[in-house]
Amino acid sequence: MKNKNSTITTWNDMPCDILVKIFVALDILDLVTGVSRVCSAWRAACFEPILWRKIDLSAVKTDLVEIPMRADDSFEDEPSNIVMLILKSIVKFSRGNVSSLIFPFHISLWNEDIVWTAERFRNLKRLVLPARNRLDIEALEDAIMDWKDLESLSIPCVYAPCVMMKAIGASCKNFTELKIMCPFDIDFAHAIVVQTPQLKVLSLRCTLVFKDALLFLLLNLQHLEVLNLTHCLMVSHNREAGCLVLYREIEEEIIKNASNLKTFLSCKKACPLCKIPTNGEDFLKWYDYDERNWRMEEIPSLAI
Amino acid sequence: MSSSSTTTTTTRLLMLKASDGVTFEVEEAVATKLGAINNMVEEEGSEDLICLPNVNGKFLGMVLEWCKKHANNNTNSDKGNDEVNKWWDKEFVMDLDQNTLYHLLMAADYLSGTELVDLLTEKVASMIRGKKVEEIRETFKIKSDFLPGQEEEIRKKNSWAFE
Repeated sequence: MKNKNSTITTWNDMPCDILVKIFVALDILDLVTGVSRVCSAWRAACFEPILWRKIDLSAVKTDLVEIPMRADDSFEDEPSNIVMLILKSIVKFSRGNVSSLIFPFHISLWNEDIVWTAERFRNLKRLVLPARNRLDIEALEDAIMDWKDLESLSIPCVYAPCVMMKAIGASCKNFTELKIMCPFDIDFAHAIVVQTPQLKVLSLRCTLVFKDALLFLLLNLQHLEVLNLTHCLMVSHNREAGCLVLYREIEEEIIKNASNLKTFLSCKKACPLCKIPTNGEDFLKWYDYDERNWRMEEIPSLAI
Repeated sequence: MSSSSTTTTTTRLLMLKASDGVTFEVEEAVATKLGAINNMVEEEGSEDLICLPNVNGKFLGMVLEWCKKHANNNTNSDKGNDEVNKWWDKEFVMDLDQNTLYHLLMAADYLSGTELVDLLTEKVASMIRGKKVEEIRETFKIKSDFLPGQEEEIRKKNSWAFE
């Protein structure tokens, strides 16, 4: 009785809205290399904006991707290849609907990568950059100028905070959240206060924080609501001895100045993460984030 | 034992009629887990026979079986209910073939059984993950309807080194 043909064609006829319900549970690799190439109805469903709002490239198991080598490949043989190629293939499906883009922890992002990304994903609201980058400040500036809707940026390495904050201040009118993982000094604090006075959320988690910079920020950044100082290493200048002093405890002076914030996060005494040695060369390794530490964040909107 | 008989409350029964004429008598509390039936009961009352022209008896039966299990589990105010439901859901979808899965998903979606739709879509997604195009077509008995040139173009464009 059963008509063989009808069973063969059923999944081609699955209504688009149900296909989308299935596809939202898949990662981008399955969408791009798998379902979008199955049949025309499945391919059509892949253009649904909801599938592309958040692109988390750190969740993609890139080691599973087979990449045919091509002589005229414009990218050099670097790990970022795979990620950029995946990103390239997303462009036509996502059609400007990506609002959140998370790069993987371990890739090298090059100037051409970030400029290309900014040109094609102009509507980003949230961007998470990899642990390290090889970006010239000019490339980062160009990219930021394209991201006018950017509200949240997590950027581990910042080589020229003043230029970066200036670009953000000029371009991103709704910018409210920043997470960095590099030393926070007075220049950085000054740049934030001057260029992005509307900043509400700042995470300095696991960084080296200069006391004068922190005090300047707390006194001058009027709209700041949330500050994360967990696992930070504090630095202050000892002018008499002419040296820097490193310590873990957040002083009363800081706590008092932070009392107006809605949320002020710092470590309790005997925090296990903070026990990583701070003397000699060891403390520098503190910046060598591992991936787990990079994802973790006490401020929910910045967690990965 | 005696305690189980005391928990039987006086629930109303609904009559549901599938597209092939098969009828089901179901407790209202069970059937109204399905959004579509809940709406019908709220709008038109539960006195009349509820006709469901888009679902046949086999799949309506399966959907109701799932609702019944979940309704029963939830009446036991045990904390382990979630675990029981999860375990039972796993059993429920474990051996579904793609054809049954297709019709069940269509039925659950038509009846607005949100939780069941979530369960089934996740099952389908798990059958897709990590598979190549040909393997997906094989799994779901899908024939490519791309024109020959079109398919070649998509394949070429998607070879991770395009444009």
